[in-house]
Amino acid sequence: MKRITLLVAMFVLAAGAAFAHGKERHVMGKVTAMTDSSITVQTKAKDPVTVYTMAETKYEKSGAAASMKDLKVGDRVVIHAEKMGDKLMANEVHFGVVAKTPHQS
Amino acid sequence: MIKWTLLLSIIAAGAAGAAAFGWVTIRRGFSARDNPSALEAFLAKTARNLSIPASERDAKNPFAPTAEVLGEARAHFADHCATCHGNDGSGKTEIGQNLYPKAPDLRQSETQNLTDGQIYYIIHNGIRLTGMPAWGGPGKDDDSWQLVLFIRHLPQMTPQEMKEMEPFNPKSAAERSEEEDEQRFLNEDKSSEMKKKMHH
Repeated sequence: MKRITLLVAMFVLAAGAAFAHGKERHVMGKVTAMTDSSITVQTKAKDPVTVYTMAETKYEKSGAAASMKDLKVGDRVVIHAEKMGDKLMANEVHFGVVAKTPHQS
Repeated sequence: MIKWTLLLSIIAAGAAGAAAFGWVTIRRGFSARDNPSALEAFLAKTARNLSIPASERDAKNPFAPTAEVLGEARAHFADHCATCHGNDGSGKTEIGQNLYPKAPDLRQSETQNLTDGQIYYIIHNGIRLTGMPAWGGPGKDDDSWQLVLFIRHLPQMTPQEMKEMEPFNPKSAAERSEEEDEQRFLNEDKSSEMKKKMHH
């Protein structure tokens, strides 16, 4: 019985671990430099972080769809990025003031 | 005698074919990363379609696609289905793309060509040996019929509708907290501007 309990516990833990590693990293800071394909962000804690953009990157300004052209050096930005090789690639770029999201209970 | 020989040959060929198929399937392993082979997909879909009784397949949706019904179904889909299928029904989510078989793109003909009754039956009863659970309780359920209407609406979804679904997507306490931190950070400029104005 103990063995079965242990096996079940191991399975549950393994399943938890399998889904625990979220691939996205959230980069939060002020834009210090931009190129056609990258955004450099000065985060609070660390050295500047450069995130690369892709054709699939989604931009959102104040909760509405936007483009990279709407983003400027000095803007506060939150980038949801994924590590591909040694580069951080942006999935979503959020900037501009946002209304508080109404959470569901 | 010839008839018996022919029958035995057919049975032997069938058994050999089944054994070969089983061997190849097992040798490919049981990883969820692969896509089902064309033969496996064909057999599975045929078995699924045959398993749906004709009376269920031809059943008519008791609901009309009113704004109210679609709104309720949209919120329900965001809460219960989008984790695997995505708010847009594309199936392009972390879980959806790592299931075996992968979550289908519900906007495509493979789903849209099913009858309302077939889609209802799949939502209500689930599909064995896939990631699709049975959502319905005993007897008929209204929620599954309303979801059928929403699935029919998926190919015409607007970005605004997708945005409205986001608050209904399941999130952990940590994710909500992180989202609030991000919103607070983005709004800091606005609050400091307001403070400056009040100061002057």
